Amino acid sequence: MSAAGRATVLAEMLGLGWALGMALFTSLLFVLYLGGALGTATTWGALALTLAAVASGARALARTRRSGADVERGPGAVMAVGLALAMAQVAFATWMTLRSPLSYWDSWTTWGFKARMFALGGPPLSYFRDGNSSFRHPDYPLNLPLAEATLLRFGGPLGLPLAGLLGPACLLALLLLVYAGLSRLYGRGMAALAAGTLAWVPDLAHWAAMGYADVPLAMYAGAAALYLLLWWRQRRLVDTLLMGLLAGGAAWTKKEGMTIAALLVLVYAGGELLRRDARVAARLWSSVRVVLAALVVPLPWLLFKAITNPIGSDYRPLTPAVFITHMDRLPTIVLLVGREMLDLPHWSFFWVALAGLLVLTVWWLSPCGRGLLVLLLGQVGVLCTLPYVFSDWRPYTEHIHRSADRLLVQATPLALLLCVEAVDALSRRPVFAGKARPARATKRPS
Amino acid sequence: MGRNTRIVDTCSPRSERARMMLLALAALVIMLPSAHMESGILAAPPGPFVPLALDRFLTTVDTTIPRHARVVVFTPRGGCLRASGLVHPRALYRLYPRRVYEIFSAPCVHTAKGWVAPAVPWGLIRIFTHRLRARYGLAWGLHLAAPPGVIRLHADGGMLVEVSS
Repeated sequence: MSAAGRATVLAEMLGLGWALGMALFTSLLFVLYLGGALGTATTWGALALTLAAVASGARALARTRRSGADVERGPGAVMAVGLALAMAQVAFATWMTLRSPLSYWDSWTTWGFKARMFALGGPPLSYFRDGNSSFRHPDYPLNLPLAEATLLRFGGPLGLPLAGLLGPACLLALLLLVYAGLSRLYGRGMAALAAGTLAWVPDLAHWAAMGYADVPLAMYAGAAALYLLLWWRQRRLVDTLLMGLLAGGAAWTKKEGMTIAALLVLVYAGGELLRRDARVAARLWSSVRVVLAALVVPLPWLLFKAITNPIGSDYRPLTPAVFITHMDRLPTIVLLVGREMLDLPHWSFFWVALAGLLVLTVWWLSPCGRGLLVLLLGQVGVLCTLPYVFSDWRPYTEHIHRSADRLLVQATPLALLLCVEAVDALSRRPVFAGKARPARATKRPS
Repeated sequence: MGRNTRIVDTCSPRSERARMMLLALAALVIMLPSAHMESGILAAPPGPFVPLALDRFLTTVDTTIPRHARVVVFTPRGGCLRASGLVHPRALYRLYPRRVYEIFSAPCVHTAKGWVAPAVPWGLIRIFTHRLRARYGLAWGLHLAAPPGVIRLHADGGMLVEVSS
């Protein structure tokens, strides 16, 4: 393998090692907590086990990536500029974090408070059913607080800034994965430029520095979408497994992650249904495999949640009656979320550029691009509207103002992938390519 | 079949250049306004969300009182003072695993010097701390009218008093 190929595989290993390693480690910690065995020694044990799993996974991944796609293509200068731009934003988020780590409201009332509890042995089980603590969302998954708790436990005076740096680290892992994944499809230059573009969407770096769970969730959701795209394009089994594991990581990071994971699995299964190159049984088994992979990480939490039913806040019961009663909110919700997308300080022209590209290319998008479009419409359509129909806030519009940007952050990496697909479709038009070229998904035996 | 196939890019060199140029254009459209806004943040970074003095005070309280003590936080009703709404949740966070309760004192009154929170009388502090079986009362930005002998800490705009049982 060439040096460029090795660098790409290394970027992928680092990104996956961080994302899946963190999710696996915190899931193990949660099992230890449930078993009443969460302590210093057992935390070290869980860390050792995680590192061993990550190392063996990295070896297996390196073997499968030996016959990679053409990652050499693309000018080196473009690659250098793209990566430098991406790293500049990670540095900016790091600087913002270190100025005042975990100082914004949810970062300490919701996530940091739980981290403190777990750093001191974990809360009593009554915490999850205590109405007085409902404003701290006991029903939220614990991936981020358990990771922060470990840093608070062992970090000493550096624990707090280190816990704050989890956000920028997740941003870095996301950018590495975007770079590595798109390198396999479009070459290094294009991939680096895409990673740089993603990094410069203002709200992504902003929320990475705030200590909220939205950028970690964006990392899992975006990376899972990326591996779905890689599966559609390259049909490698390892990509489906990684997609499933990352979707599970999303479900273990934030409540919305469950919806995102469900959408990913549904779109994956839809793609399998439309395939004509495999038997029905094989396609069914393929979908079941993804579901099983998605359950690996969040299973302890899902079981705990089903048994304990932790108390939540902010929402009325999710019943058809409540939906019908508050359906009249939908036009206002759509209007306010649309207005949020146009908020320049939050998004620059990201959503405008995507909308413009889609208007130009929607009829020429490859089947993979259409799949991504369905996924994005599902994610934004469901997650940015339904929660507000059920919102218990008064007025509910305040709920939208306070959270719509964070819900959109979770969809940003997926939107970037779609943006690249749209650019690809546009570049194949005769006006750019000279004459129409076939769509990308052509394969040949290696 | 997965292992034996790989993508063959059907792009012409011309469309590949076009793809790069189009993405670079989209990147510029997104990055230029972002860079302008971030230069503003770098020039004048936002101040801390939680007052530093409040955190310094709670850090000292954390090292002063026992780990399983109960604490009552007094805050003026109505949130008339800067950051008064942050004192109780921040104390919950910084003083964990201690149990921290909140009691609202009288609302602020408007004087020639602006809004002023009336001091919490010692009798009220005693009643509420006893009722909640707490040994300590604290306030930040609000005066606790306690006898000098029970004041354990008076720094960074905050006050901690110990109530004997």
